Amino acid sequence: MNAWLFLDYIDERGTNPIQDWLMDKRAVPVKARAKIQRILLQLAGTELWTRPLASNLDDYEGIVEIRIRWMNTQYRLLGFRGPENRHFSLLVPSVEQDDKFVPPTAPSIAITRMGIVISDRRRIIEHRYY
Amino acid sequence: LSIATTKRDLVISLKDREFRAAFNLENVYTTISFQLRAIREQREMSQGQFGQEVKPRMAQERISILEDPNSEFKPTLNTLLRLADAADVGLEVRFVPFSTVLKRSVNTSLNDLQVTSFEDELPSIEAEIAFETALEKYDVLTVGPVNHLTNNLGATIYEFPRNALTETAMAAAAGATNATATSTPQAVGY
Repeated sequence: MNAWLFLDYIDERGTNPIQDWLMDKRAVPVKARAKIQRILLQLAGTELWTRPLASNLDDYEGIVEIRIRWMNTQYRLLGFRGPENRHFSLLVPSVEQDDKFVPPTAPSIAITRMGIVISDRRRIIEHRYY
Repeated sequence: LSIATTKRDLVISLKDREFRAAFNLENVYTTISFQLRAIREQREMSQGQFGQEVKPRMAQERISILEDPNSEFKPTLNTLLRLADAADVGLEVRFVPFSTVLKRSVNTSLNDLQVTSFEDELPSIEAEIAFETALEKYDVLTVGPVNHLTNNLGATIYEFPRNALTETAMAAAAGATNATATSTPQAVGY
């Protein structure tokens, strides 16, 4: 049995920005997607997540980032532990450039989406490992 | 998400050869990094303490890098053998079908990562050998055939006729780790 269940945020139009991003080869090359999915699978089975792979985001309470490096790109998946126990909701995909988020608003978007998910459980769906 | 669904998702992507090759690579290094940490913590050692066990000694920083799945530093076979020796565990490097890769990729719990040291495992190894030895004698000398079945937990079940079970085999079965003899009689060995 897995320690964590990954969930993806669903926007107001019913689309899945996490899955769309993962399947967009310009944003995430196929080899990077393989690494991201494999690490998510590993984290799903792991009780404790530690830095630098996963850490709380300073100044954005409740937001956790999962850092996955492939070649010279640092992918930063923002999410939170919830809405239920043993759930982790992926909220915003982003990358790091010059120590900054791209998009720069990724953390604040994550905060907004976390609130939406907490108040409406229909805005999440189980993450798929395509 | 069920294991079957996760596997089905992965198979869809694995049909793409580029994804397949990349997943194969990431599966190796992700597993190694997480497993190294799991094995070290199983022994209640810090990274520095574990580094002291490696011959020749490995710095704490190097252990930290090896435990980081994002590290660009990839361990060589020789490094893996040194780590295995320090943990007193085996290292198996072999080609396998993708079904095996798939199965191991979705079984990622701590239990799946931890490995018992040879010293700790030795009593159960010896008990299993004693049990198998008794069964071999039984196969040859008495009534045979012994049915070798597998239960739904993956354990091997040795099933043999009741009145043919010798005292020797019963004693060995009782001594084998996790082995039981039932009135069927039926012995289960893991």
